[in-house]
Amino acid sequence: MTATVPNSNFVEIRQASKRFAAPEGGTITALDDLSLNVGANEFITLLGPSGCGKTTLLRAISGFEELDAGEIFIDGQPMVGYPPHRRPVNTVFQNYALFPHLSVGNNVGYSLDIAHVAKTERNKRVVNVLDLVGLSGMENRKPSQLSGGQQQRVALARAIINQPKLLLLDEPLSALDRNLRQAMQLELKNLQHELGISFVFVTHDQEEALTMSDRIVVMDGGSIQQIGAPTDIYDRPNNTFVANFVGESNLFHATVSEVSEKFTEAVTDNDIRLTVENCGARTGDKVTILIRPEHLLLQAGGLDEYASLSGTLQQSIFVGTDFQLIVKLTAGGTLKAVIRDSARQAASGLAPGTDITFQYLPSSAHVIPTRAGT
Amino acid sequence: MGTKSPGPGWHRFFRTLSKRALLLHGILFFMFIYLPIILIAVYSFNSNPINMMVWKDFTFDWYRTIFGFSAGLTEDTMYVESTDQLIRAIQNSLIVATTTTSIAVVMGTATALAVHRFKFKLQRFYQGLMIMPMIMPDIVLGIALLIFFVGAGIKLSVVTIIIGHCTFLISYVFIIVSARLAGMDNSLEEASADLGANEWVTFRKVTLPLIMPGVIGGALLAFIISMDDLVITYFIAGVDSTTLPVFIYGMIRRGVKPEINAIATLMLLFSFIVASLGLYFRSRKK
Amino acid sequence: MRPTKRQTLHLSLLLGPVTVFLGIFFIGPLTIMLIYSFLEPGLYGGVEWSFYHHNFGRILGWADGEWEDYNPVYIRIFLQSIELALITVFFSLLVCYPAAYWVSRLPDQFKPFFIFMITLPFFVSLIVRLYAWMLILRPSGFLNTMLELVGFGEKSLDLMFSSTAVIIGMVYVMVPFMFLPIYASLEKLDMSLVDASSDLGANKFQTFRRVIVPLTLPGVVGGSIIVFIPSLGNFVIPDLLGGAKVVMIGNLVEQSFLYARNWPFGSALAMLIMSTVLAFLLIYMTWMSRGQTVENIRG
Repeated sequence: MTATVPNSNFVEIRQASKRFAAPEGGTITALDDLSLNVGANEFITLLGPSGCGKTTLLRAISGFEELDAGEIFIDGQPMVGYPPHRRPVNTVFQNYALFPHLSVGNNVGYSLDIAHVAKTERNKRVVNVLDLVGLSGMENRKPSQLSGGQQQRVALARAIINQPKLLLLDEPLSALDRNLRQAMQLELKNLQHELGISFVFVTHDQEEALTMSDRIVVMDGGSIQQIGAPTDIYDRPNNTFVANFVGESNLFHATVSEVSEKFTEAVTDNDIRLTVENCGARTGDKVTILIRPEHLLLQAGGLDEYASLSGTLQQSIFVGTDFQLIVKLTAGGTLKAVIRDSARQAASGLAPGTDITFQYLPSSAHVIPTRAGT
Repeated sequence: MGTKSPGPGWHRFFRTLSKRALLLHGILFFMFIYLPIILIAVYSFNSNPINMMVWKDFTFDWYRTIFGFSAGLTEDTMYVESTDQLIRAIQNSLIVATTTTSIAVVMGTATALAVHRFKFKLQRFYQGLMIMPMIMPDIVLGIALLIFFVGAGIKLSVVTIIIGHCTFLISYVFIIVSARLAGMDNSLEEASADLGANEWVTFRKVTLPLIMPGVIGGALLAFIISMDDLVITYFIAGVDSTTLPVFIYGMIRRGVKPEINAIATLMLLFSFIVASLGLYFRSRKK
Repeated sequence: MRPTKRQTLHLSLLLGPVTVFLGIFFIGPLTIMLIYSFLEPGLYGGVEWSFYHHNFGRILGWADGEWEDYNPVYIRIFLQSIELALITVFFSLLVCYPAAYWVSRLPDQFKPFFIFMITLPFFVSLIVRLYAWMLILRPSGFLNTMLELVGFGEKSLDLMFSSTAVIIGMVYVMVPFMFLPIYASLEKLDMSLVDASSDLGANKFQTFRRVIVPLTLPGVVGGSIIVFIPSLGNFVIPDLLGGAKVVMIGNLVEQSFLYARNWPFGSALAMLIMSTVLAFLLIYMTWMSRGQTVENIRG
């Protein structure tokens, strides 16, 4: 059954649950009734802090962990009971797991050798895939002779040569230095497009997730906090966890005081007034408002649309591309602002103790849906 | 996944099967190692003197016999040689073991220190020299020493045994202490020197305490191996200077007797105690 | 940096005693043995100091004088000894490898205990451990007694004084020597490599053959050498468990020295053992260093 429409349910994870015994006694819930669909030809990232279950989920898909409950389907086929070597999934391991006793060529061609592919065909494919990852001519080297970045590419080549339906990547870039990592992020993204295989990428680095993904799955405590495109996750986080984990945030817990034609006004306990665009909240409702540091502007112009926040400058930190300003609000509480580009000039002269007023567009403030317990 | 690939049920079955098979092998392995030893111990209390493996009654008789107390045994059930010989064999073993250990520990540690600390031309040679006695078959070493002692006119005695044991036990101590030295942090010795201590003081106050677990481990190992040695001692022991293993070997060659069970069990006990002591010390010092 | 006078002094102090001791009591005896192997045996024991090549000749089968026919019995015994030693290595491997694999897969807190339990018998004298097998394998021994109880009839299994008994005895004694090197290399094995192999489509057998075996080979070979050497020159085990039926080269050496009083011939036999051991070691070391040089080329 060939679908002409891209298969958005290429990988289906239904109500996956997994518990581990905790060393001190009791159990740790690694996956909590988690459901997720991955599309064909999609680059999806599992993002979350250590222990959120992202690696467990990855290993459940590849077959290294057995679920306590729930099912996994790949291209319509149930995976239950099938060990890793029988699943159409390949993994790029965090430590690369290159076979030290085999050459690069034999590492890459390993899955073809297992499947007894004819020698000429096998060698041809090895050469092709090495070209694809930029390691032409390295067939006879040993892994120990390669740099970290090169080893990473061999691991990649080895995992894609057999044209798996799904590629899993377990924090593959974490061991690389910053510049190399950023270069590899782009390469991986391009590779995924070229190959047309779905990539499930695991990382705890939110910048990485934002750069590479078609969709991000933010996880915490074994369950999904939010799924969406990078811009959705960043601009419209569903809860405070996502707001804090992805990007920097200024969060205000306030009560709606007035709803007018275009704008809603809310007041915090310590009398900070905030203006947001109408979002369906009514007077008296409790809301959490997020303003990202880069949306706080110095002297934007005196247009009516801008709301403002005032306080005293506590610290000014220069990080090259911008100034980070820590401001203590007059009403109480701390604000973090990031000043860039043309406003840098204005920011560079500011000394701690100066009075500061920031302005922001109400449309740039985001109301986080208040759920019980957030 | 092809049409001919086995289903999930088969994979589960196979996984469990291979786990069980491995566990079974492990259990059989331990049984293989310990059953013979347990048998000796158990049957040393068997009062059946003829069919030794057919259990009759529980008794301490054999233990009493070997120490010279012939508790109610008739003439034809008492085969054991004089208890004096047994006691002397034990004494010789202990003398040899303690003396050998002392010498081997000193020389082995000294060599390990020299090879570890100094870079010198003959370093490789000494490392090779230390390995050689360990890879040499016992019998070759034994007869070479025999030829040497007889040729040099040295009478075979406890002294010759001690010398013989030292030749290869120095190597064992060397290996163990070297390993310990290799794992040691050199900067500690350098710090000591930096603070004004000369080599002897540094050794006494810094190096020695740090390698002590290795030294003790090497000493215990040398002691046990010396106590247990059969082949080399067999060739270079004199008539009056048998050690326990050689004595028992002689007894066994003359026929299997229940008293041997008793002696063997006591030797087992002794080895276990020393080995456990060794383990205790090693885990403590860590 | 050339060593200082002070350093040289310390070095000499540390190494002096050992050098003298081993020089006299280790190198010396071996050299004399080498010389003896070329000497003529005296009529009543002892030696004649004349060059005598017939010791080695006799080993190879050639007669000494007109009243001996060509008799390759010594070569035959030597080859049989090698065969028995190799069989011992093989069975030790068979017994120890799965056991070592099992222990290495146990939770970490149990491992030290099991390792202790496995090495404990090593500290018991050889003679005691062999005696145990005598008790088991004798016609009236434990094995037969148990079989009798189950109804197999009296003295059914006649294992004593056979090469089977000798092999059982040798394997039993050699187990700690084979187990530890294999265990060490299994411990060093990176399990993520096994996972990677599975991930790439290899079933358990393929993973074992292509990943686990090559990476644990150093331990296997090391253990094999440690087992082969004492097995080849053994005489106690063939003596006690094999009796007159199993004669290994070690027995010949013992007989030459203590009964036949033909020390030169015994020395020649011992030289044969030693050269075989050295030959195997040389092969081992060249094999090891060949692997090393490939690894050491830094790209």
